[in-house]
Amino acid sequence: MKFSEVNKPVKRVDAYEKVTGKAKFGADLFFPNMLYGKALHSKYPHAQIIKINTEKALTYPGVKAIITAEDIPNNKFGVIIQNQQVLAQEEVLYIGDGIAVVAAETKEAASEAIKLIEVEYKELPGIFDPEEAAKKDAPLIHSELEDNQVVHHRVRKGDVEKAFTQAEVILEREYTTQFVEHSYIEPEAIIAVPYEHNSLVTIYGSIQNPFSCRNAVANVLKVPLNKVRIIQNHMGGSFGGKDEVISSMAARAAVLALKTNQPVKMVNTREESILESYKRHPYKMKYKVGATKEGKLVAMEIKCIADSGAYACQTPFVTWRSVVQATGPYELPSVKTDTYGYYTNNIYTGAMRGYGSPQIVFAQESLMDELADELKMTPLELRLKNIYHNNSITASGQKLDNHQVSLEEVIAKAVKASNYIEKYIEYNKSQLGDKKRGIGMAVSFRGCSLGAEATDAAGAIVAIQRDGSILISSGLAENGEGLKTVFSQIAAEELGVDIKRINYMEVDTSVSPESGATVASRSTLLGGNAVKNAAQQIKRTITEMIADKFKVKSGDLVLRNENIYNKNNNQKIMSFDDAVDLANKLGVFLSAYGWYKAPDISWDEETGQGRPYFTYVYGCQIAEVEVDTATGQIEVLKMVAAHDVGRAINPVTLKGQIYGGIMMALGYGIMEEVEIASGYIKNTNFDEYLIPTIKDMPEIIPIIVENPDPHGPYGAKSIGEPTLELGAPAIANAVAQATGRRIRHLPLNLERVLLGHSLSKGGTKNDIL
Amino acid sequence: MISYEFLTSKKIEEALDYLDKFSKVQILAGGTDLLVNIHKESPRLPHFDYLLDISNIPELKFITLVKNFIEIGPLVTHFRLIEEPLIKGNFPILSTAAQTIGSVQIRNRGTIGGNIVNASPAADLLPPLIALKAEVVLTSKKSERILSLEKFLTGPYKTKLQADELLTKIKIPLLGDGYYTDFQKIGRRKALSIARLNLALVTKIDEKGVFHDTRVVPGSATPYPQSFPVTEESVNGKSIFNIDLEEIGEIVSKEMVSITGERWSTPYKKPAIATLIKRALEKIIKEAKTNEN
Ligand SMILES: Cc1cc2nc3c(=O)[nH]c(=O)nc-3n(C[C@H](O)[C@H](O)[C@H](O)COP(=O)(O)OP(=O)(O)OC[C@H]3O[C@@H](n4cnc5c(N)ncnc54)[C@H](O)[C@@H]3O)c2cc1C
Repeated sequence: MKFSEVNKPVKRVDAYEKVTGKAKFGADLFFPNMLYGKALHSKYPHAQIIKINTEKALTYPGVKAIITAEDIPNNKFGVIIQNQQVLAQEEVLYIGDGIAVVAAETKEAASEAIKLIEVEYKELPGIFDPEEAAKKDAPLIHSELEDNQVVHHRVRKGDVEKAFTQAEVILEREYTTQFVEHSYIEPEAIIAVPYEHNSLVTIYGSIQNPFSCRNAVANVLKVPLNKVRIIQNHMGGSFGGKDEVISSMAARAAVLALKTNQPVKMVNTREESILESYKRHPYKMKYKVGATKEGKLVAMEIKCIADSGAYACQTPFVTWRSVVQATGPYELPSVKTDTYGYYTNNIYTGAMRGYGSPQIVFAQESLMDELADELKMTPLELRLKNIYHNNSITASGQKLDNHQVSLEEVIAKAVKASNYIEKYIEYNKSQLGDKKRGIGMAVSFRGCSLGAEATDAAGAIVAIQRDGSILISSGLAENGEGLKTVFSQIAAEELGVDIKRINYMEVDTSVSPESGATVASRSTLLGGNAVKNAAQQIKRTITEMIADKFKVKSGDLVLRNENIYNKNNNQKIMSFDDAVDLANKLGVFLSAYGWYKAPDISWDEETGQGRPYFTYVYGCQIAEVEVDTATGQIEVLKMVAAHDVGRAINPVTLKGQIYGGIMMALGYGIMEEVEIASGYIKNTNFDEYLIPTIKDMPEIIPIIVENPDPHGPYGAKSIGEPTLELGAPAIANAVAQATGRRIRHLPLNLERVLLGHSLSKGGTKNDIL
Repeated sequence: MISYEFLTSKKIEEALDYLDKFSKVQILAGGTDLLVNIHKESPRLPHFDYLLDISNIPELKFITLVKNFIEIGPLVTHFRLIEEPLIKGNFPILSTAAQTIGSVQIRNRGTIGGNIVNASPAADLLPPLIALKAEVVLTSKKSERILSLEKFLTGPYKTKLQADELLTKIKIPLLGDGYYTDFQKIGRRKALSIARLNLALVTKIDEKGVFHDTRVVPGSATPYPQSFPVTEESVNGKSIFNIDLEEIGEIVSKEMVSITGERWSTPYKKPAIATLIKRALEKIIKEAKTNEN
C-alpha cells in the first residue's frame, strides 16, 4: 500500500511552538484576580485528625479562603473505586494526604499561611507491607471495608498440580520490584476559573485525561458534567502520572474558586509532587515453573502482590493486566495465576507507563533465563521452544488467530542486529579483569488498549472550514507523545490533503467527544480509527456531492494530492479547495463526528478465561552491558529493540517512543527507587531520586516491525508502553551473565551488584526527618 | 521561606567591610550549594540576615604561579580547573576531579572556594586538594591567616572560617620530580552524581621504584575528607615491582572502619574503597613503568 501522509516521518505539528518557547503550559497561564492555592499535607503516614484550626492562617495578609474536608461537597472520588479523599476527613492515610488548602493573593502568602494552620493529630500505627495488610487480624485501612484487599484476579487453566507432578524440572523463585516516580519534567499545575463562558467552573492545566478529571470534579462538586469544562494545555510529560493526582488538585482548586469567586491556580513544587503523587506499584512475585528436560514448559503457578498504598486508584486494573500477561508469551497447558492488591499506609500507587507489566515481565523473563541455565540451554533456545505463534492459545484460553503473532520475527531481528548468538558465546567464556560483559534478552506480548477493563471507544471531530482549512478535535489528549501529529497525518491521508491545512485543537470537554483516556497505548489505535472514520464520512460527502453534479460514480472518485480525481482515467475533476467552495455554495455540511468502538472482548473473573484483549503487540529487547564487578557499576553499552507496531504511522515519533521507553526502563532497572521508610518518603527531589541522564544513554538500535493489524488504522497498533517493559529484565539478564550472579530485586544498584543485597539506612522516622 | 538582605560588592576590601560591619552574613559565590540549601531550608544552614554576593569580584578569579606555589582564587570555577594549562600541567588530579563534578552548568558556576567552604563529605575537590597539601588564606578586615586545608576542615560541613573572614586564596605547593597522582570516583550514574566514594592518591616514586611521601585521601568514606596515615605508611617504602595491592586494599578498608565504625553503608564501602586504592596504584605503577622505559 502506498501512502502520502501516514507511514512517513512527518514533522511534529506542535514542534515550532515548543522549540520556540511559545507553547503555553499550565503554569504559564494567568487570569485577572487570580489567587494561588497551596495544600497542607499530612505530618504522619497514618493518624487521626482531632482538630484543625485555621484561624491564625486566615488572618495572614493576602489569605482569601481556606478549605478543609468540611467544605468539599463530596469528598470521595476515584476512577474505579471511589475511596480517595479530596482532603483528609477523619484520618490521614498516607504522608501525602492533603488536610487543608489555602487560597491567597500571592504564592508566598499561601506558603506561609499553611504553616499557620494548626492540626492536632493522634498518630496511629500504620501498615507498610502489603503482606502484613493481607493478614486476617490486620487493622483496617478503610474502616468501611471488610479487609484490606483491593482486588484479587485469577487465571485458571488446566490442572496445575497434576502438571507439576509430570514436570522434570521445577524452579521456584521470588522477585520484587520497587516504588518508582514518573518524573515528568513539569510538576502538576491546575487553574480553576469560576463562571467562565456559561460553565460553573473551567479547569486548565497539565491534565493527562480531561474526561476523568471532569468526572471527578463534577462528582466532587455534585453538579452535572455539562457544568464543568476541562481544557487541556501542553503537557511536560505524564507517563500515566497526571490522572488522580490532577483530579484531586482540580477538585480542590474548583472548590476554592467557587468559594472565592476568583480563579485559583495551584502549581506543585517538585517536593510536593513526589510527596503527593501516586507511584508505580511495587510487586512481590512468586513464580513456580515446570518444564520437561527438553525445555518444553508444562506448568506455571504465579502469585503477585501489589502494594496499592492508601487508595484503590488504578490497582484493580493494573493487577488485571498483570494477571493476563503474567506467564509471558509462552505456550503453557496449565496455569494458575493470582494477583492481589492490598491497601497500606504507603503512598498510593496508580497508572504508570507499562501499567502492571514491567513488574511481571521482569519476573517472568528473569525466570526464563534461570530455567534455561538449569536446563543447560541458551536463553534463546528455551524461548524459541515455547513462544506464541499464530493460533497459539494463551493462559486465558484465547486463540491468537486474528493477527500476525510475530514473536519469532521480532526475536530474529533483535538477535541479528545485536549479534546475540556470537556475543552470548563470547561472554560465557571467562573474562579477565574486574569489568565483565554480558548480553541478555527479554520478550513480551502485550494486549492493546484497555481490554476487558472498561468499554473501549473513542471519538473525534473533523471540521472543514469555509476556506478549506481543517480543524480536528479529538477526545483523546496529547501527552507529549505526538498524538496530534499522528491524528493530523491520518486525517490528511484520508482527505488527500496537505497536513498543513490542519489545525489540531486542545481537548475541550465541552466540545470534544468523550473518548476515555490517553492510556494503555490506545490512542493511535482507537483515536486514530475515530479520526479516520470522521475523515471518511467527509470524504463520502464530498464524493457524493461531486458524483451528483458531474454524473460520475462516487465510488470512482479519489481524493489525493489536494485534488479529486476519477480513478478510472486518472483525470482531475476539481481541486479540494473548489470542492469546499462548491459545498459552501450548495450548503453541504463538511464536518463529521467520527467514532470507533473496539471489537468485543470477554473475561470470566472466576477463571480468567476469555478474550481479554482484541489484539496484541510483540517485542524483543536485547541489552549488552559491562559490569564493574569491583564497584557494582553497570554500564549499558547497547540496547536493541524490535517491536511489531502493526504500522508505523510516524516512524520518527515512534522511534522517540522507543528511545524514551528504554531510558525509563534503564532507570527502573538500575537506579530509580522512591525510598519509603514506615510510610515516610526520603527522596523528594531529583538530587536524591536519581534518574538516568543523557550520559547514561546507551547506543539504541530501534527496529520497527510492521505486520498490519486488521483492526488498526492502516494496521497500526501500540508502542508507548511495550518499549519500557523489556529493558529492566534484559539488563538484569545481561548482568547475570556478566557476573554469574542473579539479582531478583530491582533496582540493580551499586550495593546489590557488588554485594548481592541492598543496604538501607534503616526505617526509623528520625533517619528521614 | 528564608528572607534576607542582599549585599553585593566588586572589591575584596568592600566585601571585608561588609563582613566586618554586619553580623549573620552568608557569602554567595557560585550559589550551587547555597541556593539549594536556601531552597530546602536546610537545617545545616545557619540563620543569616544578609547574603553577600562575591561573585563579581575580579580579584578572586586568578590562577598564578608564585615561586613554588600555584595560587588559585576562590572564585575559579570547576570549568577553569579543567581547562587551565597551569592546573592541567602541574596538578592533573585537580582537573580530573573537577571534570567529575555535576554537569556542564554546575561546572560553569560552581567554584573551588565554595567546594572547600561548603566542606561536604562528598566534595570532589577536597581529597585531591588535601593530598596536594593545599593551604587556605583567610582574610578579614583586621587580619589574614594561613591554614593547611586539612586543619581548616573540622567536621562534616564545618570549617574554621570565622564570621568576618573571606577565603581569598588557595595555595598549592608544586610537586617535585617523580610525583604521580590519581583520582577515582564511584557514582550512581555517569553525570550529576554525588560521589558514593572517591579517592585521591599522590605519591613519589624514586629511581628504584620505591614509594615515598604517599598521600591517600578518600572522600565520602569518613565524616569529612582526611588523610589515611596508616595506609600511607603501608605504601611508603614498597616497590612498584612487588607491592601487594590486595594487602593495601585491606589496610585502607580497615583504616576507614577504624574512623567511622560499622555503618549501614560499610558493607559496600569496604570492598569499594579497596578497589579504588588498588586502581589508583595500578594506574600510577603503570605510568611509572612506562616512564622508566
Ligand atoms: C546539581 C548539582 C550537582 C553537584 N555535583 C557535585 C559533584 O559532583 N561534586 C561536588 O563536589 N560538588 C557537587 N555539587 C556541589 C557544588 O556545586 C560544589 O560544592 C561547588 O564547588 C560549590 O561552589 P559554589 O561557588 O557554587 O558555592 P556556593 O554555593 O556559592 O557556596 C558554598 C558555601 O561556601 C561559602 N563560600 C563560598 N565562597 C566562599 C569564600 N570565598 N569565602 C568564604 N566562604 C565562601 C558559602 O558561604 C557557602 O556556605 C553539586 C551541586 C549541584 C547543585
